[in-house]
Amino acid sequence: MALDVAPVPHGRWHSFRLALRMARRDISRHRGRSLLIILLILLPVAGMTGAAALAQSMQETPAERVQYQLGSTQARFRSMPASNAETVQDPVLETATMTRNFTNDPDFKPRDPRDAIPAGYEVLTESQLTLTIRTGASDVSGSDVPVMAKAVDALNPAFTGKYTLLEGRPAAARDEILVSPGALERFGIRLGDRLTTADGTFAVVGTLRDATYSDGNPILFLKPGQAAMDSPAAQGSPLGETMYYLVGSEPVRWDQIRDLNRSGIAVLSRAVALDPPVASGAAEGPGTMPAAGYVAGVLIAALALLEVGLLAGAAFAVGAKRQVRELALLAASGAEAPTVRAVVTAAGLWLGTIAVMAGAVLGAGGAAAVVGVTRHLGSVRFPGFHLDILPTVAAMAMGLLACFLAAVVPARQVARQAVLGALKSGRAPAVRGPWPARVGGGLLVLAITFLAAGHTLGLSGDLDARAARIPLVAALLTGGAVLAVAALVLLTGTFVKVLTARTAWMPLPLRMAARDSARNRSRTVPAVAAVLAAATLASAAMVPLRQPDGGGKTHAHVGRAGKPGLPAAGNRTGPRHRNGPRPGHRPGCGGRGAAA
Amino acid sequence: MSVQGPQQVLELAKVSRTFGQGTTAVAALRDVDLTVNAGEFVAVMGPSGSGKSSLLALAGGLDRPTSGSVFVESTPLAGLGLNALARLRRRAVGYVFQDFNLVPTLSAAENVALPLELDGVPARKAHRQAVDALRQVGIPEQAQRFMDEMSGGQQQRVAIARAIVGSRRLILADEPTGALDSTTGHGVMEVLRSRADAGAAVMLVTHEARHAAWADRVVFIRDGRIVDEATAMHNPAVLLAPAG
Repeated sequence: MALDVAPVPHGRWHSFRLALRMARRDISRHRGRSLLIILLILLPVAGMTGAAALAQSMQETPAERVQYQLGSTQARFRSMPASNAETVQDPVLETATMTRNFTNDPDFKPRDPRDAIPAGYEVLTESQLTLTIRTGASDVSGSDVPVMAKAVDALNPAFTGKYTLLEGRPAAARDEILVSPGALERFGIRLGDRLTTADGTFAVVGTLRDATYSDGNPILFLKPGQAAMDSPAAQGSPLGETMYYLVGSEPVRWDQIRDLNRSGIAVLSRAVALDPPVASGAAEGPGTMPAAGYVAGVLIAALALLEVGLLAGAAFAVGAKRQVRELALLAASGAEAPTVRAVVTAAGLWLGTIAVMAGAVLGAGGAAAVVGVTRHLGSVRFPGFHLDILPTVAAMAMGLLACFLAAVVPARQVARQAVLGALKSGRAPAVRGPWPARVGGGLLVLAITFLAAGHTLGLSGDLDARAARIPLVAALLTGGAVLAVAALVLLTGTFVKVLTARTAWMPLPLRMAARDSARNRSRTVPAVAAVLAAATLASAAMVPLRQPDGGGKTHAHVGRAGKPGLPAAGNRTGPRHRNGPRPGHRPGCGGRGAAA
Repeated sequence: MSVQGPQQVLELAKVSRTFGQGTTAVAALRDVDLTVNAGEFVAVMGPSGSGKSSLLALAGGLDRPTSGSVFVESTPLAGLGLNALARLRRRAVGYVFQDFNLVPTLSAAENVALPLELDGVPARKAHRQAVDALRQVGIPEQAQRFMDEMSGGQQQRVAIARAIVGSRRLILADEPTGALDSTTGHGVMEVLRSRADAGAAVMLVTHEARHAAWADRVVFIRDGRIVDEATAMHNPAVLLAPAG
């Protein structure tokens, strides 16, 4: 009776479990090689996760904006730069405005915000002004220094979360002030010292943290009505804007804000910012990363992981070659080719899973630490720690995929080998046909086509047409770049073969090295290709850095024809001040980014 | 009353194997006819390069003949694909190699259970059968040990246990005592002999006459051809003398 050689039901699953077990033990037996592969995957995943988290943490959420700008007040009223009654503000970033009508209406008379405050609220004011510090003889400049000042009842309980007393005590007397830690440093004074301005001399009794400015910025905090407020210098300051904070229980609604906009008043309302109207651009406002950022990030991440995959592939290739005898033995014992492949690819899955999980934890943890330390040091560069799940999961998925693919190629080579030869010699030379060069050539042509098409589409037509084509252009350029790298990887074997073909004239060490590279192309090719990919990655990373910061600016204050919307705040990646665009110049103050 | 002859477990019919092509072609085996029956212990002897190991590889489906046919338990190997050959190896053929060839990442019991697990037998049941096989070769206490914790003789016994586990009836041993001292080698031969006595077909490749003496039949190969056959009662050493 003939033997039954039919497959058993679920046999593949049993084999895969066995492969997982063998792979797990192989990893623990070869810890050095496994650690190398894990690090190759872990570091870029950690870097990408951390970078994404930091980038996202630089974006202020509506809740953070409300806390840092309003404290516990209900709303803030301020003048809105508007030339007519059709200007509309963003519900979250009230200083961002848009309009369909740019004509200057001579009959439009903006109201004073103070006159528009509804009844039933206690009102707190915050005025910004410029004071001149008269520096002593020891100062190198030896001249008067303009410095930013705020006239505000900063320690009012309604401003909890907006202002924090760091050291000292509240100012009690009329000649006492609070200052930022940066002012102490800037003017070389300590608590208790007196600071002479053009408008009077004040005793510094405490340091205050303004949640909207880094501690390193020199700022003086006076009380409303304190001497300097009435001085001619303060009155003439370009920063002499007064904002009105409403303390009360009644929220300010979006329809009220729209009415106030028609009067030239902008309002930041706690209730509206935390629950912005659906029709507004708030969903694209603070707290979200611009789509262009995602595209650039994904491109760089894809190329980084391609390089990682190539490097890890070389490591897997070396490991698989050392494993050849073991795998051949497995085949001699009755393992089918998929099982043999599974042992190597299972190692990729194990290592990849460990690496991406550790990488994500490390990246997120590192970013959280950076945010925490930065905020502890008084910088407002990071409003809070925000872990962006999408890029994190994408980085993990790409890392796992890179590791898996890095393992698949040597696994296929090992599985394809002659079992007997491997058992005898422990070596399984891979036999490759001409297909990699042919496919590589084809991919190169395709990549050039993609890149040329992306370039042409990206530069032709008017601005609106280009804006509409951005996703297509991004996809073409990304796809072209990835295809180009893939083509180069496939052609690398041919390059190596050609370059090492005529080596007879070389000195013996070089000749042996060249021929060894040609004979062991399964490990030479990934290493050479990794260098190619690294160069591509570096170029790709440099391009966004070289780009002028104009992408987001074109969207500000631009509405869709016939459909008024609200401005996206996506161009706020590098504002100098958390409070949005402000008119005028702040002498003596570097803004929030200056000290961070 | 009908009389049934001995059951053939392995049959090679007019098998030839040539490596290379043209002027570099080397004929490893030429028109070899050989059968091994259940319960029979056959030793294959010959000088180096005579084709002994090629014969064993063809018998186990690790290689394919250039011409001729190989049958294992009446199943022609020529019609089987690579995966079907793999399944045949794990169900019907047990290999014992000179240098043990155990998987270092698996324990002794897991090595023995390997063909069973590959064939879909649940791990626990496969482990029980593996321990039984280890008991048959006299080292059940080594079941949880790994290769680097065992002596050469113990490893070879594990390899034999792996070759006999399950329902396999063809054991192919390629110089299984080559890496062992004489005492340990003697023990290995005892195990193989006992397997044959228990009904398995055993084919042993060796160039040591003292090991061939354990066999029921000795086949002599030279230059890829079977040049003689003898029972174990003959003195095989004289047949290993250089030709001419």
